[in-house]
Amino acid sequence: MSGLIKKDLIVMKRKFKPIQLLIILVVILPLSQNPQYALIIISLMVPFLLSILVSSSFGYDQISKWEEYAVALPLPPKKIVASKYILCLISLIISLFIVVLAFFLLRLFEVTNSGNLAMAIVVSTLFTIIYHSLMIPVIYKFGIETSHTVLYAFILIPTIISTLFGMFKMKIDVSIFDHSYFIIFVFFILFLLLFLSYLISVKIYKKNRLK
Amino acid sequence: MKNVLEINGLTKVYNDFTLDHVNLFLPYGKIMGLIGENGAGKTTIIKLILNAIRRDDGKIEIFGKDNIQFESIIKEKLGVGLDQCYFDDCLDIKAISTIMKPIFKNWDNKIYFSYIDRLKLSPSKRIGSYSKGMKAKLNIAITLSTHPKLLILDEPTTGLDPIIRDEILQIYLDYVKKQNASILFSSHITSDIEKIADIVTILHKGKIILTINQKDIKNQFSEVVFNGNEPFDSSKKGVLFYIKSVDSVRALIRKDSYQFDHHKYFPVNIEKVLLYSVNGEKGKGETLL
Repeated sequence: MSGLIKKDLIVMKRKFKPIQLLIILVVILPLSQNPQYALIIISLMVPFLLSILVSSSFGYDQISKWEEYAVALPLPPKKIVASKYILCLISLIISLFIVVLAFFLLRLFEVTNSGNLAMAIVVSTLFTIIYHSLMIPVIYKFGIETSHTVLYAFILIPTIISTLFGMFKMKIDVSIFDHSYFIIFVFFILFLLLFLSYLISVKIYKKNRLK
Repeated sequence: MKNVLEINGLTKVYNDFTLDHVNLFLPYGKIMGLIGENGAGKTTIIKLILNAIRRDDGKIEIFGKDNIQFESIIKEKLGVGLDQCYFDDCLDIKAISTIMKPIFKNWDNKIYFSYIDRLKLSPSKRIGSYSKGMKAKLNIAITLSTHPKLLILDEPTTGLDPIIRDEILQIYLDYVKKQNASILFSSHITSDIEKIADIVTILHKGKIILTINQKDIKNQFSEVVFNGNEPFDSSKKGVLFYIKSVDSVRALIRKDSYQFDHHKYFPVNIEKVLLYSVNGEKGKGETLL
């Protein structure tokens, strides 16, 4: 299975240079221009861009017809599917690393009101896990082209939520992120969702493959 | 267990095509050429062997084990060569070894790079810049680097020039001799099958119509030509297939049962047998199998 992960990582590294540049810009621009909002912007945008990278690996598999060759490899379907979910977790680790790095950079430059690190971590994890939990089964079921609809929905959802918050004058009590039990609870739910998504994807993959 | 691959009653039903109760036995150390027209069912058989599609009936055993129950164990010892390279264009020789090493327990980097060297593949170039012939050679290097005991090759020489085809076939032949491995070689290029196969299986419209040792083809079959004014009896014993044209009738006959007469007889090869079995009308006196 690690071979499949290595394949996707090598292809990503060689093919996605423009997006890598975009990720660097997403980190540098808010840090220099809007340091007060930098952490929340980074915690949303970096996972978003990295998630697109992971989803694109399906597209590159499709172009090279990799799935036709994968059936010849000594890998059961559950491992082939698991490799994509592990890739999602790797992208999450990279996102969180960048978020933490940005937080300490803001601290270093003594930016006050730079935001809550725990909240930024939860936001990044929330975005990455929900995105892939929905996206991976959709890709396996309907193909990479259809999955773009889900991507558009993801772009719209934060806008809709912030509009609703504005309309009803709702506020998030950020102190909730100071409670570790809340964070543990959120993480538990998210990883449960990811696991359920994995089981669904394996079922879809097996059904699609053995037509 | 004398057969590395045993297929019994294999059936797959599609809306417009049925692979119909196929039986196929490949002994250890032998090369079987699976030949048939496009759409005859060659790739369907290979997909079923690889458990890439669900079979509707029948049984497949590889190395004496069920191909579904022991799928991963079997695939560790299987070398699969397909008609194209399925690696991303941005990858290169080294990246492929990095990817394949953790996938196959038997992956041998030394063998892989020795084939890369022998086949004169440039390690610094990306696959995207390789020609079709170079990609086919790369497929060989990948396929043989796991020390496979059975090679499943699906049209590995299609679209290649005769020189590269010959080079590729020679490498596979050398490998089989050295390793006492077996090959199931699917192709519609009859000359390739002639060069490599010990046993020939002809598939037509989802059914196996003949399995024979290649060297027996010349001994068992012959072609006879009747001119337009000569009587031809399709029910005569030994007549397998016949093809009528404006001025003659040509027939494929089985030598041991046909009563020879004053006509001219011509030797046949795999291509002739294939053409008769696909394009010819069946004689009433005999069947191929």
